[in-house]
Amino acid sequence: MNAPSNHQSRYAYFRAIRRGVYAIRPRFRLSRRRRERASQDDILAALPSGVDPTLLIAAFAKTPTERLETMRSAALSLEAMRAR
Amino acid sequence: VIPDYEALLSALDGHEVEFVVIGAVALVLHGSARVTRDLDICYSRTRPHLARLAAALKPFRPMLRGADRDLPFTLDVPTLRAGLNFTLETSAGDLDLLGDVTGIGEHTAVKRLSVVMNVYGRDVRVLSLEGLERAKRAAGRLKDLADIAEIREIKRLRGD
Repeated sequence: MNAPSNHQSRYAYFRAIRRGVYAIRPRFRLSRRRRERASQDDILAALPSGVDPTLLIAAFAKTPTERLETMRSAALSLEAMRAR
Repeated sequence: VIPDYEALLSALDGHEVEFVVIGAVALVLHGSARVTRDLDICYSRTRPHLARLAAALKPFRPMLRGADRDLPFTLDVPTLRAGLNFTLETSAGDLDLLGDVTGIGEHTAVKRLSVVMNVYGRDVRVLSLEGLERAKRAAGRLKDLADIAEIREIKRLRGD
């Protein structure tokens, strides 16, 4: 950064555009692809998703109301099992 | 208490409350195999809609979830204006009211990322898969990673 010479840190990756406004020098900017990737993407890419597509395909055959009622029945069953 | 989704959604829609279903129920409506115990909605914070929201929920005797039973609580417009997110226990099940969704913003922004689905015979706004993925990325919890994986699989199977 083109800070005054008495400034304790002079970082090379900033450039002052005008008073109080700085820009990251082009060679230190993240690529567009890298910017659009979230930190979780690397984790998601490394781990098996564990998603069972057959459950999703079965859900697609239902209406949204049926999907919600199926989930509600499952939740009620779990609740009943916990209560035993 | 597992929510009576039909009762809650019908009351909200019947009172013309501006809201978007978000969270795990939105995922389920898109086809997810998740199981959840509550209903999350993002609500409009304009004064007329707050009055409608309070009126819609009044019959369900909303209380703050986990709070002492003796704690006086009335869900009305001043209460809604004084807060943003409320985790409620109602006679129809647990309900979370969110004035702002992390990663997306307030109701107007959430509504822009919503789709209309017919649920219990009513047209209900539900956060889109794109919106859900954005919210899950921003939340960044372990269970959100599992949800992102499922959202991507739903998109892949649908050919999105």
